[in-house]
Amino acid sequence: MNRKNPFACYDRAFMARVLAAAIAMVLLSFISKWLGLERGSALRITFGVMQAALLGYLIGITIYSLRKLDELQYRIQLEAVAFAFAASAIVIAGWGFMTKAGLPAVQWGPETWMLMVLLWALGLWLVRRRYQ
Amino acid sequence: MNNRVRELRTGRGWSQGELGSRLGVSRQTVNAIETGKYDPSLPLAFRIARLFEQRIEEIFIPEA
Repeated sequence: MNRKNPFACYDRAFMARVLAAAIAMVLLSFISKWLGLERGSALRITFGVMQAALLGYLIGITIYSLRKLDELQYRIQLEAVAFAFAASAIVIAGWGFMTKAGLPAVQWGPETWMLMVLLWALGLWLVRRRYQ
Repeated sequence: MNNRVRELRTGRGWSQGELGSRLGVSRQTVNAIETGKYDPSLPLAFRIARLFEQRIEEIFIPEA
């Protein structure tokens, strides 16, 4: 694991698969908008199912990559995931309270996933400091 | 938990990376064990003991 790059413990093939799946998800969104598909139409739902399947694929390959790590790296990653999970809940629930207080509402969809990934990176940075 | 991993490793002239390769863990894991920031699992502690041909309690010493 590289000190400067918290994701260095993942191999290039993993990162390439994640990037490809992320690009495919974004492309599906753009194509769906470009075609002007109506909400509830069979094709729009098919696009949604494909995006959800890609997300499932991402989770699967992430778990597979985690299992290949040695015990300390595995522990660091799991602690970072736990941090991201709790911190995401705090951010989303906290924003919900602030929305009731008058701040603009946020429709947490794919943004939740991005928030969790960012918080995972933050969690990795925090947890790794303990073992350096 | 204190340990003698660094002493045993340097006694054999191995780098942290080399010891990590022999144990099947990363150099960072070896470093964290040597500095006492991480206590290895029981299977890894057994691998370390077997590699250095010592008993676990001769390598890992509980703090009083």
